[in-house]
Amino acid sequence: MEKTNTVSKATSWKKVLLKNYSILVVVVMIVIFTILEPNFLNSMNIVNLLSDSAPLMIMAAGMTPILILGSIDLSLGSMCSVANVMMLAIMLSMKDTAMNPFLIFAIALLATMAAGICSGIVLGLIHVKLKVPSFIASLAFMSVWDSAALMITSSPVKLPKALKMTADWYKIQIGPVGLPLIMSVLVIVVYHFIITRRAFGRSIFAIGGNERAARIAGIKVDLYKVIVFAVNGLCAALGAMFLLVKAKSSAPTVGESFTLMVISAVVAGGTPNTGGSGSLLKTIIGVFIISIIKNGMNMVGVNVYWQKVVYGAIILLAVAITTDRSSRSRVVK
Amino acid sequence: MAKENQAALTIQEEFAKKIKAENRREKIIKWAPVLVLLALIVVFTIARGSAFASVSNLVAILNQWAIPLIVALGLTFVIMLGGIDLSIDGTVGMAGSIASVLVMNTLNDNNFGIFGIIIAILCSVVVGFFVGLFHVKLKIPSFMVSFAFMNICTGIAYLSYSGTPATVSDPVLKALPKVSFLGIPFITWVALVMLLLCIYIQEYTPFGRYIYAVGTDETIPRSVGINVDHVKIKVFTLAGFLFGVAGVVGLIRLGQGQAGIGKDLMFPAQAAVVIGGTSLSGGKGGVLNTVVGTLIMTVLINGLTMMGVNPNIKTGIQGIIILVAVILTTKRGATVISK
Repeated sequence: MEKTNTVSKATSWKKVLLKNYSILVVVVMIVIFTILEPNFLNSMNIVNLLSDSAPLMIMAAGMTPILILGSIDLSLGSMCSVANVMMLAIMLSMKDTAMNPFLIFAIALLATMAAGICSGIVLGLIHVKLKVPSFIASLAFMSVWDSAALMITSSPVKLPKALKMTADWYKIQIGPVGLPLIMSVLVIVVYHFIITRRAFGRSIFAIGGNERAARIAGIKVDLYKVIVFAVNGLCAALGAMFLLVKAKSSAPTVGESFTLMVISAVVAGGTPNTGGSGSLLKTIIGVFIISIIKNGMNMVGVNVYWQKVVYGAIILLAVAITTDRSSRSRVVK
Repeated sequence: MAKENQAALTIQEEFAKKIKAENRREKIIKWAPVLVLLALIVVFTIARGSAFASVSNLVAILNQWAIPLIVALGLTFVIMLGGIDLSIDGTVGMAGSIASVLVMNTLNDNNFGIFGIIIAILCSVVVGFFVGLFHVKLKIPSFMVSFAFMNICTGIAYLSYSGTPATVSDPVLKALPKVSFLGIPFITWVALVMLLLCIYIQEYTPFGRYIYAVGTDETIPRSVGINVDHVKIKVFTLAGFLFGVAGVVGLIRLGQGQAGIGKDLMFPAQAAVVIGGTSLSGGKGGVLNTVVGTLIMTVLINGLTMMGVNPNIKTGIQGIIILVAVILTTKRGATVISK
């Protein structure tokens, strides 16, 4: 009796470790970077690292359920660019009115959020109703949004002096953690609870696992998919707002690098892009993996060209460790 | 009894009708990319007249077509497996950059000539092999492995010339872009040779047929004893070879080796393959579909440039046309699952 107990205990330990490999990756990376550069754990750098990861975090929040569905959205970064330039353009157009700057900010933010949701809904509808694979539909949207962003403004624009104070909140700190990161994590946690505790969320896992079965079981597959894409659009808009406030300027290509960064963060966290499984809480770890790689290499002073090589290698390593190989029959594409 | 027979007959007839209708639909879907291509040519000919439909512009189109075609050919096999290869930008740039520092150039004293080019292509083949190996043996989605290698290869490309791109000074390589045979530019000939090679592989080798089998449902070829892992690794290696060739061709065309040779090749290539009718879920399509797909993309870009369209909107129009083309050719119906 006792023997079986210890055996099951050992296996459960192993399971826990396997399940949380991504946390282990974070710890190992922190240790390595600290050995290479003791200043890595400097409080200034921690604050920097945490505040830098906020836009990535909020966008990864929207992307995770899409990967759980087994879909993908390659237009996320471009949508973020559009939202970024659009928000500043709206603020600029209202700057000369006598309105309170914060009201201007709020109006611009609401308009941008609405635009993000709409773009998500349109993408979702095209994907769901016309049966276009999300990969190709979002690829087309990527080109369209890239163009749209460049049409709004082809060069970076600065936030006017009169409105600068609306960006000050980005610097607010609660301990070492910045307000934007807290907001992002809050969004992730709330979304996590919706996904794990509500029928809507369980349906998303069901759709990702076996869409046909989900449909037969009476789940409103189309509706849920569109909702997930709409939330993703909203998250892209919020990420764009963070980037705008952080840089105090907008740029039509600001989101370009985010698409693949967000996807790699989600996958590195442990949500496979095959659908049916994953977790938003794991995505938090994934985002930190990506942020720590970027920040750590800068701190250690890795040559810019080597950084790309190392970044690729670490992503490969992180994914190789976190990939679930428990089922031998699973087909990996 | 007779009544039963009749009933059976009607069911049979109904079934035959259904299959016929489906076949007709499939035929239309199959030929839709060609129709789109013809429509584009007609539209641009009407809009620009002799400026578009001229021999000089045809040569220009063939020139622009070469690199996207070679890249898309490699990608076609990967997509036929149901996988995806995002490493293109990096591998192509890496092959071009490595070749540029190994042949006679302005940056260093190397002069390996043809061997330099072979080494560069070999590097890219090795990358393709590793993408396949890691994907198959570590069971990582091809999407992730190739994304990692895109970064690695871009880094290697920059490192190979460490900051200042090398300009090719080899007289043969410098002369090649201007060489043409039967009115067709040299680099297009390279692309056509690659095309023939790919058609041969796809149609006349067992390996080519296995790709379809693995792409459709890999559990079936596995159970009949085909080494699925080997097929997959071979496909990624072949893709690596083609990306390497594309990099060298890009170097010949540009005359300078830089990571930028591969920039912005990936997404148009994916679009071209899918527009041509190769399905992302694997098992369908082929090399000839990709020929049509790349032609659509090239003619489209060429035509839009001729119409004087703002380059900022050009990518947007490209996106919308991709979307329309795919919407027109996608299968729909209650039972179809799209991810």
